Amino acid sequence: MRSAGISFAKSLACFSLLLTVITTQTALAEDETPRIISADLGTTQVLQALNLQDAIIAVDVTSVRQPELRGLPSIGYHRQLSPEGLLSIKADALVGAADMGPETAINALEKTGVQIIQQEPPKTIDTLIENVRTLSTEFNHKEDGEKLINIIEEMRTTLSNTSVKQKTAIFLLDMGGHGGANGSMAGQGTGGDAFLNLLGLENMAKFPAYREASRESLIALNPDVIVLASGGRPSKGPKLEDSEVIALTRAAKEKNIMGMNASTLVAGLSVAAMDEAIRVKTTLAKK
Amino acid sequence: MRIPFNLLVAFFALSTLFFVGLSIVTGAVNISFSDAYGVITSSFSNRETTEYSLASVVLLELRLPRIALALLVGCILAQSGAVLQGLFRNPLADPGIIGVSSGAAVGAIVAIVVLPEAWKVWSIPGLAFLAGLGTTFLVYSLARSEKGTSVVILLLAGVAMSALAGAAIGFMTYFADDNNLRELSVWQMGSLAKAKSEELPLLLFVCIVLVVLFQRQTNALNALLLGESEARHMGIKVERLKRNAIILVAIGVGVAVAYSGIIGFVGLVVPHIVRMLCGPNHRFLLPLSALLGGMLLLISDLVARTILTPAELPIGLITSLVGAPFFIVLLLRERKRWY
Repeated sequence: MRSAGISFAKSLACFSLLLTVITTQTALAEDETPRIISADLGTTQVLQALNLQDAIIAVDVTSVRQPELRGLPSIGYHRQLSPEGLLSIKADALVGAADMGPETAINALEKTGVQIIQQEPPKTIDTLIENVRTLSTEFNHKEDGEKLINIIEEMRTTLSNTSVKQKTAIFLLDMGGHGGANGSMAGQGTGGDAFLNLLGLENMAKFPAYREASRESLIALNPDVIVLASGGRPSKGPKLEDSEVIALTRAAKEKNIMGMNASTLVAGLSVAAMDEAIRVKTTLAKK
Repeated sequence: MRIPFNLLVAFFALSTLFFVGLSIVTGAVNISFSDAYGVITSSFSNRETTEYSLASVVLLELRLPRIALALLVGCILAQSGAVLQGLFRNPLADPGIIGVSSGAAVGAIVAIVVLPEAWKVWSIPGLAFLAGLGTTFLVYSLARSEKGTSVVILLLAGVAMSALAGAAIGFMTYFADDNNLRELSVWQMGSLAKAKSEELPLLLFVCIVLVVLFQRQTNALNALLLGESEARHMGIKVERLKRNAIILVAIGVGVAVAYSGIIGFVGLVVPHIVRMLCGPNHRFLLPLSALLGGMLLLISDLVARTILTPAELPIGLITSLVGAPFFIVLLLRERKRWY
């Protein structure tokens, strides 16, 4: 059925085309290797681990931070993808999180035969394994997939075999000490919460999402462990771990303030995040 | 120097057509003039097909709906700004000032944060429109008394409602989860990327109705430029004019914001440019603002979708980048008049 809106647009187009004399030509070389757009850091990391790095032809803003991918075109933020921008890359597949969009971009790609693979950001090891299995099957890298899954399973075993006496924890995202902030505390369902689950610790923050932690609540919660996540760049402000409030907690008194690299959790659990969990849990187990 | 109306209409219309053409053949995907012409003319034949070429998807499903959306939203916002500036006799008035935009933003944010994900396709535009309209009625009823509608109270009520809406937005933002938080940021920066041909008939209808109804009010708006009491002496029913104009603006801006997010400064900048070119007569100001508003938003969208290809910038950033310095110049000019 023809809509009035599109007719209006077409009429405008016909008139204006007579006045416009711009022509462009393009010719992209055909390539036999799959051309993949990765719209999510977690996906990018899995693709790299599956030896599919050479197949990645464009990445989203979070993946651009990866040094080895810096030269690739950036498709921007995965929830505000440019449909035309994606089509211009002439990819075979777009892989990303389940909430990438907008819908017009996904529909346009599907109509032109681009394979769309959407995955849940992994909050558990099982989801991470499922995502690895899906990607390795879709891109015919099953062998690499099985190897990676074995590594993840080994890491899971290491984590479950390492026991710690500490029970409770909070996960604080270090905001660089701006304005005397106490850090953003990870609530239920967040990447930080998933990280604490890996450590086998109870997340004392029962609210959803990340919330600014008040000084009083930090003292009142009095966790056994505080995980301090930072972006990996040196902060110019005062360090959160030096905060007088944190010093009053049991975690500080027992020297259970553990640093970790927050970038490993940007897209949910990753192999790098599991590595960090093993390091932190092993340190805690020695206490 | 005043430029004749007919000359300006011809110039704006031809320029708009040129930029429509330029937008059709410019974008991340290279499509030649001849391919574009072929796709568009063949789409007029009623053949149903399940095969889609790259050019037809890009042109018919992405670029053309987006071009039409830019023209319609630009036209509505610019006309609404011109009407409000005339109504309030205030050169700094724009649709945001009576709380329509902020009210609509609250509606959209409630839809994003509170309502289920599956409803978002219709709940975001629907609630944005209803909340925009509701806020406008509230502001209007606050300003209205037995003696009439006070423009000063109306403006102050608009500012108060905008502040209240800001608090509500902050509150919802604080309690939003990570995904909703990101969606909120994107929506508040405005975008035409979600343009769909199915949505255009409603916008086209609203745009045509507004153009016709606003044009019928031009004499009354001109009389109002002399002052409210002077307009009353000339037989203008000022109260009715204010009520009708505000409701029409609320409907127009509510619908526009619902489909494109918050796009600032078009309603402020465009009427001023037109006034500089052809004077304050609303008979000429309104149609020219409609044309220039559409063209300005079309150019902004062209920049937004090509400057960072294969990514794109939110269009609200482009209009704010152009509009904010213009607003400052305007304030400086007003300051000279005050001292």
